[in-house]
Amino acid sequence: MSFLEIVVDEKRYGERVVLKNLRLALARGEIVSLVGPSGCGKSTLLSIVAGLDKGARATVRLEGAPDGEGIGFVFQEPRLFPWLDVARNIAFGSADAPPSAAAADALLAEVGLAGYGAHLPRQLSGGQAQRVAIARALYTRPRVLLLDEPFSAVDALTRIKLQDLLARVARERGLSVLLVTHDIDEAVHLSDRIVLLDRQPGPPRTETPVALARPRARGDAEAARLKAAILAMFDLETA
Amino acid sequence: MTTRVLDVPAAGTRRRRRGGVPLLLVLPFVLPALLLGGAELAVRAGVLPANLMPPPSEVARTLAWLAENGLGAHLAASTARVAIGFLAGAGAALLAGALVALDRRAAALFDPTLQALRAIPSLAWVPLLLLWFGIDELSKLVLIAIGAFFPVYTGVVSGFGGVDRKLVEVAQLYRLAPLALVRRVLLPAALPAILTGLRTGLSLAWMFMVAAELIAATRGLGYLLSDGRETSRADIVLAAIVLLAVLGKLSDMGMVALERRLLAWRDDFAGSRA
Repeated sequence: MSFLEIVVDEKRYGERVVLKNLRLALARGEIVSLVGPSGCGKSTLLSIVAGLDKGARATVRLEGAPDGEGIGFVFQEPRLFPWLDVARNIAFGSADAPPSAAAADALLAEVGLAGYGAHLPRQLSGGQAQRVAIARALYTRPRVLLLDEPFSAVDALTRIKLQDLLARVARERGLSVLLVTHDIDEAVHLSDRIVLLDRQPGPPRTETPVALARPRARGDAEAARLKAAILAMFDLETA
Repeated sequence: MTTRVLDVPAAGTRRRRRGGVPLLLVLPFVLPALLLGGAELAVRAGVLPANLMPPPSEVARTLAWLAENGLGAHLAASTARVAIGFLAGAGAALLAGALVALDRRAAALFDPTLQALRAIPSLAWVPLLLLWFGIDELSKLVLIAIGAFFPVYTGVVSGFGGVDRKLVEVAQLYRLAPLALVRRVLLPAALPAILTGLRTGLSLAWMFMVAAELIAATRGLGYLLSDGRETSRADIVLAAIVLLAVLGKLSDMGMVALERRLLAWRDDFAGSRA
């Protein structure tokens, strides 16, 4: 059995089938990107893995963890609670009250926001807020991190910094990562494997291993070749 | 070629008047001062009849006289009625609103009936309340409670209903129990709408207190109003109106202060100007 096993028999919205006969397995510490056309069910798949979607016929097994535990989630928007300061937002998943301030401080340092614990979300920039969202997802010490287009709303430079942050955190913590993205460059830069979903519900169209050495340089020629190959597969379905 | 040096005022100098008093603190008093001064002059010049429109100076004298002749009891009676009626009505509305907002079956059971009751102009209850509870204290308190109930109820229902689904999803991610979900996410997120409802409810409580006291009372500001009319004392009527304005404004300022305190986290236009 793999570290994380996802089997979706079927997921519908009303009459429309969005996911069908989809199997996906992640190894420990593996980073997998999910790409595909809009509406192909990438985000729905993440919701299912996180246990947010109760209406799907699906099973998710994480080695040694009960249903839904050991999984952190970062949404497209930071989704911070505006009435809680940054430290309390990070510790939101804390079962113990009061939450551990030391743990929140350590996480803030880890995501490069040391000293921001008492700030309110409205005082943060978009990139900072997303860093806090990552810290919040890490608070419960997950072994799997799910990210749903997490960097699509920030400017290009911030995106690069956040991608580097994600790569570092995943490496240092040995996290398995499932990343939904529209950005092929991002997928190639971060992943060990890129899974391309079809518009038609069913098994993935292709799975492309990314065998580039880490740390990866941006603008690498091999990366560019991979990107072109993946984009070509996108083109097939619009033809 | 000539060079001009622009005369740009340093930041901050334009916002203060010469006396050092910020303009924004003076502006609220301009209209009241003009109106009061104008009324005083108009009456003294004989433009307005003094028996119908007593000059502000006379109203002030009446207030001073009232202060020595039982005004405290009137104020206490009215304020106590508003406080008790508002607490009862708002409390019931908080419970009913939360129930209706959080439970679909409770909503189906209660909300249509409450909406129908809401459509009744609240003063239409007066005859029925008098029949049921007599002209004593209880009928007044119930009327005030009815007045306070509906704005608070509406605020609570719309507040909970308007909570961002995306924040609720985060809470589901952490598997919050229903009660923890209400306490940690729904209540804080709904607080702005709830506080707006409470504020409207409080001002309606003052309104219904006057209505109740006008009909039947032996003490209170509403009683002063009707007593002044019956004895053709416009100065007493105006004095009572002034007191109502002051009390209403004070209690509203209390609510605003509470709002500021509880909603300091909000990122809104009003906050950015404060």
